Amino acid sequence: MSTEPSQKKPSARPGALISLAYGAGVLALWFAVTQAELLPAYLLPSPMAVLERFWKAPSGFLHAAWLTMRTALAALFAAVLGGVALGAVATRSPLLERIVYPPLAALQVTPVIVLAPLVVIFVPTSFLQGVLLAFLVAFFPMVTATISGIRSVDPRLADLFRLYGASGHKRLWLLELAHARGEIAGALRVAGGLSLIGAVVAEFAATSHAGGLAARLYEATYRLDMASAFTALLLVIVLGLFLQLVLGMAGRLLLSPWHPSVRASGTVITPS
Amino acid sequence: MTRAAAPVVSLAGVGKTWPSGVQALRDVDLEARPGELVGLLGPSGCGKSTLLRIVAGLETPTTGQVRAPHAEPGRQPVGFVFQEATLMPWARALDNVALPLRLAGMGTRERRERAGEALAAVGLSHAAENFPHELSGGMKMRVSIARALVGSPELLLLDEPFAALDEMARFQLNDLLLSLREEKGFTTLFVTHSVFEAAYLCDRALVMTAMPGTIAAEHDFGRARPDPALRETSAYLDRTSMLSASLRHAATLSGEPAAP
Repeated sequence: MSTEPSQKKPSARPGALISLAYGAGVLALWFAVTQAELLPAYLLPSPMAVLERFWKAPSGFLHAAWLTMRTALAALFAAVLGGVALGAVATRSPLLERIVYPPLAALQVTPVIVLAPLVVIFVPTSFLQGVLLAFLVAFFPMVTATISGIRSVDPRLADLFRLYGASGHKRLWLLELAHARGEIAGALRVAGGLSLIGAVVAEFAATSHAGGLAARLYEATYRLDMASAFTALLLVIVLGLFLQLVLGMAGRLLLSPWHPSVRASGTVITPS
Repeated sequence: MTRAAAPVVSLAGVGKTWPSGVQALRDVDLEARPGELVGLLGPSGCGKSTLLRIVAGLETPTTGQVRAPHAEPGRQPVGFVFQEATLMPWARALDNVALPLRLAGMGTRERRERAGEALAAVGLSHAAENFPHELSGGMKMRVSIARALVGSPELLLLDEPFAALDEMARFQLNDLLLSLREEKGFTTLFVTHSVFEAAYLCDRALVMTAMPGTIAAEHDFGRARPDPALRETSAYLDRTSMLSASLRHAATLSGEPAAP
């Protein structure tokens, strides 16, 4: 009887506890290092100094965070739509896939920082420049996940669709994309992280005048204002973790309750 | 060739050679009359599945003629049951069963109603809202049969559907298949490697050789009906020993020794 309540949600609690423990551990270490004055305060400010800096003028930091997040979200949105669409097109025929793949592969191995100066010249606004650069980083995993997801459809299910004379778009929606969801959900988290990284790199390399978090960080280190620099850095990390959390939940929603990755967590109870 | 009714399926001189040069089927003649349940019995790799896929129109023969009903817009005259249940893991049982109707463009309410009836016919009304991973192997196979029958096809093709199930589930599903046939009157081609299943289930059993597959013998048992007591009769044992002997003989006819 006493064991019943503790068995209800076996996976949620330890996960949250471990995350909290990590946060507390890092904070404690940081605090200890600054208390012991292992590093001078103008290189490593204490957690309190950082919090104080944020607290004095939160709107400036939050506005910068919003600018960065806006770029990352727009890029992610474009990468998901474009990536899934291109993946779906590429799998229509082996020839199409061969046509689509080389430019993608070339783009993937080109560092985005090299493209930044060109993008600044060719693209009009700094928002669009940032979005395009972040998109170029986040796009590739969405395409490859869609392609390999569609490729791994059970061939007998595909036979069944043929046997029943399914139209091309019904096969795409009801079979191929429905099945590829598993890999697309996984790629969503990768692309989410990459779009934020892409947005930050774009601010460093191209759009620092537009004033996102990376621009704040850059400018603060220039002035040796380490408290501001650390505030901006922490906000980037918080944004990234938040994005991962939301995309992870979105992925679970996409796959619940049937997908093995969701079932394996033990939150779904199977009747005998 | 004047019979009471034209055959639903008729194959004449059908052969299949794969691009690799391997000859899977050679000179197969086969006929299934309306409402008949014809078994194809043979060792693994004898081309039984290929033959079934040719009848379904999923594979084209290299030689010979095939006459069988085929899908066209608004008509789905063939149901297919694979060796595994082959359900969409992301769809509930009811939606899996309704798939053929959905692909035919039927409206949501009507197809759910028809799918519900098909599930009831296989005794699974209570599992309509369950996902495949929540069902046992036998239940999944029932869902697969309901899906194959939901569009009231005139021809049902089954490719070793019960091979992976335990003995009791297999017995139950054999009887289920026979009583559904009594009720709906569809024609069936049933591929199996079990002489026991063929002896119980088939009106007529065709024994195949391997590599290349061709029909070596034919046994006419008369119309099969759901009758579990049959399994304990000597008539049934006679059938199984006849089929075993036939299989052994067919093995000696093969051009090449069977693959290990």
